[in-house]
Amino acid sequence: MSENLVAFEHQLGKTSLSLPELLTQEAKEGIARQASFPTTRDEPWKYTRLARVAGLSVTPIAFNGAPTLLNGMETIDVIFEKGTWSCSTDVEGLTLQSANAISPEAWQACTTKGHVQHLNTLTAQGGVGITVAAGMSIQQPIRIIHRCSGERFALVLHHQIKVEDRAQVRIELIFEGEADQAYSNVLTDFFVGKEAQVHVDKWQNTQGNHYGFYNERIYQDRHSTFRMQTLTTNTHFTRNDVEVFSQGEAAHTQLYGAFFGRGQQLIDNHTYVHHMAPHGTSDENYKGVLWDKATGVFNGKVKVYQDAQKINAYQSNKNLLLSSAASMNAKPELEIYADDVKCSHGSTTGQLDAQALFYLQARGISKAKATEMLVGAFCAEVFEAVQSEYIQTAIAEQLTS
Amino acid sequence: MRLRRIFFRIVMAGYTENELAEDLNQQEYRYGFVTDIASDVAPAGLDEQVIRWISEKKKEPQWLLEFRLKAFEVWKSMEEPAWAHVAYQKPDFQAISYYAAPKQSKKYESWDDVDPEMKETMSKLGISLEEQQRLTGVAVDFVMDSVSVGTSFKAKLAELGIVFCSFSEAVQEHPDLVKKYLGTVVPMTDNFYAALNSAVFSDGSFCYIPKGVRCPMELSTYFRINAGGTGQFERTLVVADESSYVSYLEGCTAPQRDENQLHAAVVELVALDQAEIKYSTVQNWYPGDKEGKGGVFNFVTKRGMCETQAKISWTQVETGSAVTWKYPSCVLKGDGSIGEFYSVAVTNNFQQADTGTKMIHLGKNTKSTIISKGISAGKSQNSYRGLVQIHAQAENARNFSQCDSLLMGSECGAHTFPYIECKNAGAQIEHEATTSKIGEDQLFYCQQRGISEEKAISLIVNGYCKEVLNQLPMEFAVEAQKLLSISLEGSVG
Amino acid sequence: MLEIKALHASINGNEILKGLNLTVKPGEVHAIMGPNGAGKSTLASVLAGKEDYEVTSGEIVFDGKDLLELSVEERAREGVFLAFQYPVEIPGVSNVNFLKTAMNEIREHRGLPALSAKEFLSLVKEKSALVELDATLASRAVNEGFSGGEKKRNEIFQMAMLEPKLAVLDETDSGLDIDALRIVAQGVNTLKTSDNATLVITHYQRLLDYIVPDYVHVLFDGKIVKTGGKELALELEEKGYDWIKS
Repeated sequence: MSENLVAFEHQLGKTSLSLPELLTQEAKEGIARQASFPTTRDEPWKYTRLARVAGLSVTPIAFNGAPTLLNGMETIDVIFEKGTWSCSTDVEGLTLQSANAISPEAWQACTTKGHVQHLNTLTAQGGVGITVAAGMSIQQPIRIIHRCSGERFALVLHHQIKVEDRAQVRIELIFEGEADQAYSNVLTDFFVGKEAQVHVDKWQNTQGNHYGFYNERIYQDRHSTFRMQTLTTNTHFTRNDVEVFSQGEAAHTQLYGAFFGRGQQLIDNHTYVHHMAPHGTSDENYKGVLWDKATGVFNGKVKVYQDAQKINAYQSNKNLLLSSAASMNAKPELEIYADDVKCSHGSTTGQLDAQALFYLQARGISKAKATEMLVGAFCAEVFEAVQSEYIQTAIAEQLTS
Repeated sequence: MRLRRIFFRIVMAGYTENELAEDLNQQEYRYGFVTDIASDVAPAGLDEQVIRWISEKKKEPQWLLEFRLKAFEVWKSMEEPAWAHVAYQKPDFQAISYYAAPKQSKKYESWDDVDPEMKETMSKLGISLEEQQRLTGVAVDFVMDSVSVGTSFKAKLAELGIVFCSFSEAVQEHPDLVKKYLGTVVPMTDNFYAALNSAVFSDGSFCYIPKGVRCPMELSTYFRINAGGTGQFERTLVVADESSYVSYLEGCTAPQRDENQLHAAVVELVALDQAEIKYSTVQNWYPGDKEGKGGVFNFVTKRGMCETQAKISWTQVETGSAVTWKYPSCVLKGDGSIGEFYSVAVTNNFQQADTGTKMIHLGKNTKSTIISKGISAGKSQNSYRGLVQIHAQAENARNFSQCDSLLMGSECGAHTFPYIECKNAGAQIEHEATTSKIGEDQLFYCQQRGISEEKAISLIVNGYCKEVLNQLPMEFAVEAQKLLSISLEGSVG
Repeated sequence: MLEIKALHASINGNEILKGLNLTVKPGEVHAIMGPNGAGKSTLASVLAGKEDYEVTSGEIVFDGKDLLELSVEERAREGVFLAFQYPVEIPGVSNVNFLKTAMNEIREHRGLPALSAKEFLSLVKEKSALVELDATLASRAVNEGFSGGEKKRNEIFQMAMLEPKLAVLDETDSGLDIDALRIVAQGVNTLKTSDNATLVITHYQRLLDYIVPDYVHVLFDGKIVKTGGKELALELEEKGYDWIKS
């Protein structure tokens, strides 16, 4: 096990991004210091074992070249597939470029923390840079589609999405394909300007023995709104880290999520909201449904800084265990250093309401169908927040199959 | 009202006259006096010799010496835990004296024989002996620096087969019971402080309730650290045999000192089939002064084992200590067993508390309830840390947790770190937590009715804590209410 | 008893009261009416001493004392009682404990001995009957789980217990059905003496059918723009507030 992290980094190759020297230096030192993958004795990985990940032997996929434009009609698609990437149309106020083309200065705000981000910093093989100009409202949703199939590959990308002051945009992050013994590490930075509005629907649906690590870092300026729905289905191993820096006054953050685990799947959702400025609000709502021997993790942390008064933070995590071997670990945390705040969280883990189930069955509905209906109802709040029709339809189909 | 019968024991550890004079000049901490009784103190430092010296001093059997030595070996290989949300100067374990007993070590047969200094101590603690004796024939077993000094009620308890005595006495008189249960709930390897305690524990309390016996009075121990430069390492073992019941109270105070004093206790509760133990604590160790100087480091391991249909209920009111690290827990091993945790933790000035509970559900149909109320003021940090763990075989387990935090002042912190681990699909777990400041509209409402701000705060805070205070025996509840008010004095400017 | 002169008050920098004058003598009932946003509730809050409001100029003299110099609780002890529009809930604190604390603080201020438990309880019994408040409510937590009507009756019950010199009823009629309104009004009328005074703040005229005022003042844009007898209220009801504005 010793130094397996260092070895793992080596097989991923060198990043094609032009990152600031200081940043890569920090990541290098971080990897050297840690040397091996974290274990369950490390708090952030308490419920998620990485031994299988450490043992992966993978080849990185590089995404080079300039963006190819696709004819955008109802959506603007940025597609990462088989070592090429393509993206669609030029729309007023919208700039698209390869992450490789982003200058070191433009990465200045980036930090690196923990082995996943360190690895990404050192080995990212591309990504997309999106800028929405101030005051612009992009009508079509931008879909960033990762469609990777195959075996023993590593997909390491770093996206940067800048939404300038008063701009509005809707983004879909989609992960699909069928993989075996593969590794993904996708980091997305969102810079949300003053009064800007960003809506993100994220769907993780990469099938097969695939180990996915996803980091979203969101920097919010004053009076901005950021909403993200994270939906996870059919994945073997998924770890999400969503970290929000609510830096400007009266910013609003919404983090919703629904995850569905079956078989031996593991889905680990970490969220961390930093309320650094006054009058901010945050609303988190995660629902987990676990069958078979699946394991779910929810670790939601809200930190309110000392000068961030009048914060209103709410967090809810509800989980259903639908088979006796499924397990769920929940850790909702509050760390509060300001006094004039209203923060609350609730977490429940249990089964479907037996009476409701009975009621439906008594009306002639099969148990399987009744369960499906109740699970749908259980997740309704999250599904309704999703704006992507594509994702909505796909999930509805999956849940009824 | 039920007649109050409390069997009191007081454990204390020595100090100097200068300090006494100084302490009396400072009114902030009401219990910051030092009792002037010469004490027998072990030299500072810890090695095998000291452990052998303690064991010999207490005329312990060989097995107990071996227990201590083994624990010492384990402790040496361990590191002080750093995961709690507290920051403090780590104690120098070689600068502490591990044993302090007053030289006066004779056991008193009646209160009249008790050293007047000790009586003074007790009345300062707010325990009016005369009143208690008039009320009941309360037997107060007053143990200072780990030595038992009053036993008039023992005969009555003995009739029922109840054993309630100092730990040292139990080792001499009931070695089989002690040997059978010591370290079974909190193994010496459990954690750094538990290992340290297992190696050096000075004394403490032992209690055994026989099968089917309902203890007719509340048993109580009052702990007090007295000697300067000493640590206190008491050990409590309560065994409730099948279908028995006992309510046990524990109070803690310490004198004011500039230095940090270490208190590392272990409490083990064993509730056999259908037994019930109610364990209440009012912890008011010296919290340090307004600048954060001095105060007790309270690093305590408390755990109870519930056999079939047994019930353990922890109630704690924590207002003292500079740093608290404490998680009274229940291992719900038996089917149908019940664990409860009711807690009020108040921190002010520079106090830091990281406290909560663990509910380990192993048996079927086990139930647990957690009600935690944190109040932070001044520059203090107050954390709830809890674990609810449902094991795969714990069919139909139930847990309800409610953790509320109240903030007073813009420089304090309130934190919640609950861990919920569920491996059984038949479980129902509900956790809720809220953090908010004391309601300004509530304060205004009270003040508009003519109530002063200080009284209004006290009223609101006591109301907020009511669910927990209601769990305490009435006399303790009254004392706890007063403590809450004192602890928060001057916290809102 | 109460004299308000050229009172200006603001909240968060917005001026709400803009030179309000009002004189209330013992034994009188005054009604303050006005449209939403006129400053009615601000006046009540300023009288009680709510800190959110800043008095920028003017004076309030109560019984010869400068009211603005007094803290919230001192005003209450001097005899200013505010019946809240939205009485707050205080979980865990019983109504009895709350009132007993308040009464004894006020009695201490007035140099009176604390009431014995027996005296206190018989007073509770007597006064709660006045507003037909269920005796069990007294042992429940302050306003917790009370219906809207119960909360308002509880306010009047507290007023009966504390015997203020000046009672300020802030929209006491809001959210009350007709029976509750009658009970509340009856309580207020019963408590009326030649030594105390009542300031009824309301949006609607209907409360004034039950509590008959000696004077009706119309508050508009932070000032009293019209004063008259009880018939003014009827006129307002008929013509609406636009009549004043024009």
